[in-house]
Amino acid sequence: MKITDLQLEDYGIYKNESVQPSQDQLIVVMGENESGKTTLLNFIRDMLFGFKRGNWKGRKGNMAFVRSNGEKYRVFRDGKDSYFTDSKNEKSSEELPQVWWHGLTRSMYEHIFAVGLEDLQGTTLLSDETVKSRFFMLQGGDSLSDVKKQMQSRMNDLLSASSQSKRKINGLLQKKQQLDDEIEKLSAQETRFASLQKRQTEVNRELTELQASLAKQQEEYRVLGKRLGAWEYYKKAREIKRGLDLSRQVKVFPANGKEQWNKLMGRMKAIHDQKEGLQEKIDAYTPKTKEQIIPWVGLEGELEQLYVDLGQWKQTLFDKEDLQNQKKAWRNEYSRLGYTLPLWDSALNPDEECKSVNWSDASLLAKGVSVRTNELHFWEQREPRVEELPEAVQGKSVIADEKEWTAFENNATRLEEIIHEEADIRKMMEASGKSRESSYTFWFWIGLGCLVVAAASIGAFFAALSGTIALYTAAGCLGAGVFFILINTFISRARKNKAGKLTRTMEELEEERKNISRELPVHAPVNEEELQTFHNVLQEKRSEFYKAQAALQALSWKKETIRQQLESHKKWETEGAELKKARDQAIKEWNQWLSNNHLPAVGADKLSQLQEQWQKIYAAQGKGKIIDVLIEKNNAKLNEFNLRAERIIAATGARLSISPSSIATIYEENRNRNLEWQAIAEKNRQHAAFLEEKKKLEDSWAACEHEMKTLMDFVHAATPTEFAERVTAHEQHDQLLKDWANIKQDLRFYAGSEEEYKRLWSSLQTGEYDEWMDSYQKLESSIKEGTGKLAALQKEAGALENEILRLAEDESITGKLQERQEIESDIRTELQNWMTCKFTDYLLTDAQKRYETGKRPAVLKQANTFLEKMTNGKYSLSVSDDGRDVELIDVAHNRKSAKLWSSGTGDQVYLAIRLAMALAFGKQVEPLPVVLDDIFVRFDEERQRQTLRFLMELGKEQQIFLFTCHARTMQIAHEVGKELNAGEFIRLRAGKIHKESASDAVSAEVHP
Amino acid sequence: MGKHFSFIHCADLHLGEPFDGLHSGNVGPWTEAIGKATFKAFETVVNIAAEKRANAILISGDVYNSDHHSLAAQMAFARELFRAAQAGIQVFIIHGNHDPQEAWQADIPLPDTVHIFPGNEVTAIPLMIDGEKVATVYGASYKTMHNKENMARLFHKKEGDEFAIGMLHTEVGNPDSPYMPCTVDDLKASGMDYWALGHEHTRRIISEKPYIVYPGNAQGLSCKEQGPRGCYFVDVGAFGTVTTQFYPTDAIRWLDMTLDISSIKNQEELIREVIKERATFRALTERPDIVRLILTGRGPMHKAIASEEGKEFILQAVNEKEQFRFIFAYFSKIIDRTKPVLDLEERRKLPDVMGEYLHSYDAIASMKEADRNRILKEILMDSPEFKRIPELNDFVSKEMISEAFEQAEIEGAEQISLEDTNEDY
Repeated sequence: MKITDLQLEDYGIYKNESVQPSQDQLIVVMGENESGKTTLLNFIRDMLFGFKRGNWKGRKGNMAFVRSNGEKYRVFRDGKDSYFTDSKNEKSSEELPQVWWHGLTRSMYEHIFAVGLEDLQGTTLLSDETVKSRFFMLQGGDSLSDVKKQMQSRMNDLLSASSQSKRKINGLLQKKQQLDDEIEKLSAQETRFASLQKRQTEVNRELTELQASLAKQQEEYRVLGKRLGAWEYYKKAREIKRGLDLSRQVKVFPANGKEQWNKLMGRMKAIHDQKEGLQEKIDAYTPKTKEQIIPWVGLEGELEQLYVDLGQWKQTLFDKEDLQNQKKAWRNEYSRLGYTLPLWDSALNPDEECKSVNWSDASLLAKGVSVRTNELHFWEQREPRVEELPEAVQGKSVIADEKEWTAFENNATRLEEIIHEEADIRKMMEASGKSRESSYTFWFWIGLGCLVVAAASIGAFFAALSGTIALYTAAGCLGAGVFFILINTFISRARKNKAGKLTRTMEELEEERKNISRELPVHAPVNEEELQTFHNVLQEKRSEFYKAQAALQALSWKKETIRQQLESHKKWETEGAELKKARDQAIKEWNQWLSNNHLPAVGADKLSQLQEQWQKIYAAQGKGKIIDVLIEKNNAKLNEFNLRAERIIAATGARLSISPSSIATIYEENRNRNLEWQAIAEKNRQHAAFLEEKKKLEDSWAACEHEMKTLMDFVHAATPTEFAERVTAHEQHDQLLKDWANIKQDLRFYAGSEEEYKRLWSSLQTGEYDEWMDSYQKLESSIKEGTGKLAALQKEAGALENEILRLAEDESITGKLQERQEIESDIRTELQNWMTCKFTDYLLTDAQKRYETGKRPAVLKQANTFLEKMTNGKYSLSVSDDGRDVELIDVAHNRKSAKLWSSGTGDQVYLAIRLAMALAFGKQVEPLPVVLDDIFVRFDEERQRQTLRFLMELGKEQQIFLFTCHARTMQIAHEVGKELNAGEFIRLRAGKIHKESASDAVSAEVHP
Repeated sequence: MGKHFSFIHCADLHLGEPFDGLHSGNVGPWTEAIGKATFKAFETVVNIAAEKRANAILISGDVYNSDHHSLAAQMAFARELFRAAQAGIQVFIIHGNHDPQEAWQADIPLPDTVHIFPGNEVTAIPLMIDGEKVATVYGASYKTMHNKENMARLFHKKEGDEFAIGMLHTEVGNPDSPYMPCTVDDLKASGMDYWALGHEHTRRIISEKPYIVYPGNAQGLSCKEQGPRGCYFVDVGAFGTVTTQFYPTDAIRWLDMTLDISSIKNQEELIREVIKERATFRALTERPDIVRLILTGRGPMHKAIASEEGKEFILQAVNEKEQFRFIFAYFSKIIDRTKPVLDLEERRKLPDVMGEYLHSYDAIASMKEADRNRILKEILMDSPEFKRIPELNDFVSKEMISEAFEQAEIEGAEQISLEDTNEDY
């Protein structure tokens, strides 16, 4: 859009002012301070976006503009009222940005299309992240980062990655955890209740059982108590009853019976006392036998004898040692003897017995060996001669036998025949080959002639040269012609058949010849020319064959001779084998004899030598045997002493060695023990006297017992105690009867009733007092224990009931569950808020990236073009990929980072970018007028001039308002305008707007 | 000719189950009422049975949630069963997926008039009136939480059954369901005269020949379970004719109130409007209500409503007046479906920051649902908060993510716009 008319009816210092800005020229507006420059700037913005809130009072104006599609509009604003009209003068009260510019805000417009001095940042322009962001995000970067900050702050308030944090969601999670724990505890109520109920049932059952059991026990306890209380009465009654029973059994009793009894008792007591005194003495000593004192008592004589023979025993021991030495010496000598005998030449084993040898047998065996050896010797001398077979005749003839030879000759003859046959056939083929050259025989030509005549005759007939005769001739000639041609065909075919047959025969013969040639051991002829040579070869072969046959005959005779020689040699060998066998047998027997007699292996010829040396060994062994006999005798003697001593030592039981010294020791001991025995024998005698006396007393005791039995028999008593009881009962019978009646009466009173008395009496009669007492005591402790248990159970039952009631009425879990559900709901709500922030944050980041990557390249490219134009190609822009580093590149390709730019250069760069952005935005939405407010402050004149030239160029397309408060800038603008024939110049003076020409500008310079 | 009898059919009592979607800290008469609502509802069921002199109560599963191990729930249940027994009403119960047989815990003794069907098999129990069998009740319980077997096929009416009632906690019409799936045909093929079903919380009569009935739950448990909840009183005539009548039992009712904010200029006006509207609810439901306030439209109030503080303020203000009412209408939540004054569609066309922001949103929003969900999930999972506090995952659902993302469109745009406005003035 481009502004075509501005009507400032009432706006700030402007009253009814108007201006019509150019649509294709740069509009340079110059106004000194307080001239209304900023007011005019604001007027344009207000017309586009409406008056600011609370700032509309007393403001009125309108603005005409033409949109890029050529449509013309005018917007009217009067205080709160606002509308716009189109070319058809139709009104609309909607706001322009809502209608055409997708809700573009005033702020956005100012960021993009309005550039003020304060926005120029000099060299720091692009080094600041926010500033850079502002450029590349079309001034939206800071709002994005602000919103991002807000989102992050909100997210931080809601949730922290630390689970222990006190943020809202974290706090709720912690609270939920607490509730989970509480509910977990409360949920145990369910199982606790079940177990409590089970326990309650159990306790009630136990209580019932226990109460029943206690009641039973207490009844038993009472009964037993009563019974035990009556026991003393019963015991007394039983005694009385027993006395009465005894008394009844005594029928007759002598008057002095009791006196007799007492006397007898006195006597018996005296006897008893004596017996006890005597028994003490008897018990004090135990008699001993002589064997106990001298265990070897039966061997005393033998001990005496051995003690006498001790000298002899000692001599035998000495002899034994001597004989052993002799034997040892003999063993050495005997062993060495072996080495002195050449046939043995080894140590002889003294333990091995030298057997007695039958030397006559040896003589016979040796003789046998000698005879057999001689026989063998003579047999060897008699070996018959065997000739060797000469080498076989070889290589003389290739034909081995008669049959082969006949076949060879037959083949040769057949070959010869074949060659002749082949020659004949070849001749025949040559002959027939000549006649076969043409298949047109004589008959053909005759036939052809006939056919020609027939044709001529038909022709003549049709030419009417002749009549039917010509037809007959034609028919005859045609028949003859056909016949002759058939004959020609037959002959020609017969010729061909014959030639074929000959060829086949020839091929067969050739095949046969080749077969025979392959079988022949010599070169086979192929034609008749080679036949003569073949005959010569045949002759040669024949002579070779007959020579070979003669040689073969001679060889067969020789073979026969050798065969006979071999037979007699074989016979000789058989004889030899038998002789060898006989000799080996003789030698074996000889060796066997030697082995049997433990003699060294020597030849039979050494017999006499062997005998001689053997006799030496035999004699030496005889000496050894004599020593052995002496040792044996000595040992027998020694054994006898040992046996005698051993018997004695065994009888003593002492651990003594069998030696003469041990016997001497035992002899001494024996003497001492005999002395001891004499003292003991005296004590034994005294003990026997005591025993004798005791026997007499026992006899007296038996007499007394007899008397006592007589007395007891009177009262039928079995024991003296019984006798006493019965006699006493008999004496006290009347008193007992009285007591009996009394005690029964007492018991009746105790029982309380007759029935109870009977029951009591009958149970008392069983008489198991100890058992009753035991049961009574047990019952007592059991009742005590049961009562305690009952109390505990009753207590537990009460506690259980209380707890069950408490649990049954506890509804806190319902509240807790609800509370937890609510906390979970809160968590979800807060989490959803957090997620909203999170997604917003993500989208903001994404939007930022998109914008930078999507828009920046185009904007920068445009900015670069602008910058080059503004600086006459002195500089071009370079921005790194990430947009962080912006550099300028000069014509010499030197790079200049932002920090090194001059303030004017920085402003130029900024201006280029801002204009590029405005154009980029305009392309996408709609180009809106660009307003530049005093942007040349830091430009030198040359730079101003360059920039103005560029803006004048750009102003032809894009409507640009350039506001300035500097007259010099206005003047330069005029100069540049003049130079380019471009630009529109407006001057503001205290609320008045004037368009001015170049001359005005000059005067302005003169009168600033 | 049989004997006339009647019974109550209810299901999904969920005794002691907390209400979902309420915010903590807002204490009032509703706090106690909410805690007792499920128990109260079952109490009402028993009351109706007694008043109507019903012969039996059929409870088709999910008496309570075994996972909660709530003794209070089991005690309350037992108490009501004893009350029913005193009134001479027999009770037939099947275990549902929330209270399977193996989880039936507290071992509270129940009256002899209570018949509980064993798990994973169909058992028949006669319904006796004055020593005479009037019907046979067939039922199958859950042994464990899941049972994929089509149990309906195991129900067969036997010869001699005057009237057969089938009790099943099932999900009809979903063959992949782990809750005893079956079809209407399976149910019809069994020959039952009345199917007392449970599991679906919304009541519906699937068929009238024979009657296949979901009574719904006795008490709504969340804002998703709105409207009257209760049980069916089923009357069986001497010739087997069945008539059903629904009786609401819910102690608290869930409702939505939708309000357009376009014409509302400030909070006071909004609160006034809400209170005015609320007055109609009491007459409508005749019981305490929990109301979800859904605000729609485009208007100046949008910004205030969008903020948590704003919602909190409105809720407090409207609930404050209900503190002392016995029949209250408690506002539990505000659903913000209002739109900002900003015309986002227009702003999308502008090549500025907000345009780019909205394009960034569109880039994800236009993806296939699965891809969008994956990306959004990744954004969350990559955050240190989710990495370090994995239990957050338990609270996040697909719907929540989608909703948060949709909210992000408005939130971001509004904040950017606010930045612009701040600069304007």
